[in-house]
Amino acid sequence: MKPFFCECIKTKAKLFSILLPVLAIILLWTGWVARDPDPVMQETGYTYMTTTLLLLNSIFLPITAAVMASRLMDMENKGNTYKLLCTLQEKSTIFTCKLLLASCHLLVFFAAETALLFGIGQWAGFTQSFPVGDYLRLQGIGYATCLLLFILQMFFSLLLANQLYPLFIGLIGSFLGLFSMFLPNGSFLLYWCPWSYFTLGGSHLMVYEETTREMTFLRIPFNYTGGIVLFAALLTACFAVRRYFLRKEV
Amino acid sequence: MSVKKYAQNAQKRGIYMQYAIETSALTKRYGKTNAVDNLCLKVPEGSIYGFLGPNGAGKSTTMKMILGLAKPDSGSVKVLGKTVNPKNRLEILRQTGSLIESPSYYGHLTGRENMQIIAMLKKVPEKEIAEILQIVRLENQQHKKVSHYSLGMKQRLGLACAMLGHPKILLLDEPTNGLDPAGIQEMRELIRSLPSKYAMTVLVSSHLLSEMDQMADYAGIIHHGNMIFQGELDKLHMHSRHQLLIRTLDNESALRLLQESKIPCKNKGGSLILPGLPDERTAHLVSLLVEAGVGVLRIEEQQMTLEEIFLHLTGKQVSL
Repeated sequence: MKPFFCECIKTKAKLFSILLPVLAIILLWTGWVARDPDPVMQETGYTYMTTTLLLLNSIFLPITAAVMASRLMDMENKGNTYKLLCTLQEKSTIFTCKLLLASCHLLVFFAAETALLFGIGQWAGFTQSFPVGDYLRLQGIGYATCLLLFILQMFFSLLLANQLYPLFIGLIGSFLGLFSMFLPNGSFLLYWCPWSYFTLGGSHLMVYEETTREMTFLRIPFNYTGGIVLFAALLTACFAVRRYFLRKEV
Repeated sequence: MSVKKYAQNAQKRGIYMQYAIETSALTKRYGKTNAVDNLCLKVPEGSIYGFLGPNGAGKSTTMKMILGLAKPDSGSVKVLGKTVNPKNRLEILRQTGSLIESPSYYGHLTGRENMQIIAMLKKVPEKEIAEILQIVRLENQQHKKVSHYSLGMKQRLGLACAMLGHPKILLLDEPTNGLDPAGIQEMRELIRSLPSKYAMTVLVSSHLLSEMDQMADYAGIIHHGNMIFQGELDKLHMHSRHQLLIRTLDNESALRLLQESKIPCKNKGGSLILPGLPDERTAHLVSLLVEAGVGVLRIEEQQMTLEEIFLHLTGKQVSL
């Protein structure tokens, strides 16, 4: 546990300072969307919010993961600390602690985000019962995708000395993820872009009929192939980046 | 005399020399270049071992291999009598402290917080931090962010982190790099005091020969990855060929006279240069010159400096 505590001291709550503004933006955005709901919105509010949250997560979380990875890796690069740390602990422990710390932070973030959505629904007076299954799917996939992106960004931060490049990659990824929402669910192209995996968490397809100005939510089945691809990508990235980290000479 | 021979002689005299660090045929290749080539480094316990060599000679690579930061292509490393392997590496290294190339620190944390992290990883009680901070004289700056430290302060913090837990061995790679003359002097005195005060063995690398002359008991000279000298610093000085410089009122006549007496000598820069001679022979030579009416102005014994010895051993000019 000591190496993990050391990692916590090192970051000095800097990861929360990255995640809190994102949470604040999501709060403001969803709060704005949920204000003065009409009866239809009150009945479908939580379902509607899943689509909003999916969009917000796809926009903000890739860059957030990039900043988190850059913070965690760059503090070691900047201070030339690996050559000291590696005489005191196993390299694998350093990697595991960093990953564990980010995982814990992201877990708290997703839990807080869900609680926030529930709170907003209560505040706005949604009559729909909270769809636990839909939110578990959305946030579970979001968490796994975010973790995958964090691991990839760790790799970029290790590979590239100038930390602006990994951040730039994260930004490009955000756009790719956003554009992938226009791809049909289950599209083969979707699997090739890790930033697009957020869309796998969507439980409803929002169809807007312009003539009647009506919005219909169509339930979409869970894409098991996509889920397996995401899980496999997460494991592969974890092992590959860990291996790269261990092999990289100090 | 090599350290091996010295150890053999010491053993004959009933003194058993133990090595804190011992490498055998240590080799590291980067591509086709041998950064370190069959290196046998022997650091006697309780000594300050000056690891000398020009930039790029392989000093840092050797130190990294000792610490397990770089994987040797062949050869082995023994620290405190135990062969280092991936399984026991951390256990052995717990008895060492290191400062490699430049100090390691977290700029966004204070000096004390930096030391707390290292103390936690070294499993050292926190109360030791205050003591070490006092030794390196950083106690008044401990609550300042390290990013606001001067280079000298960062070096001292690096040394403090290395000294945490009172390790038996300290490996310091160019610890005076970038320090001002006062900082160099301070660091040198601190390192000098470590074996006697804290029973530490110090392996300190530098490309500054004059620095080692003032600090080390033993020296190892590495060049192109090969050890070209290893032994006591005094023995290194014995490599310096003494010579006599004589200035007379008539160098030409003196030169002729000395050559007639079959003493090899040359006239250079207004002085006659002779190889080192025993005192009786020197006295005889002076009387010979005086009897011949050549006024002797000055006789001077000249010794090669460490820089000159290095140049002699490596054939390469060193940076100073």
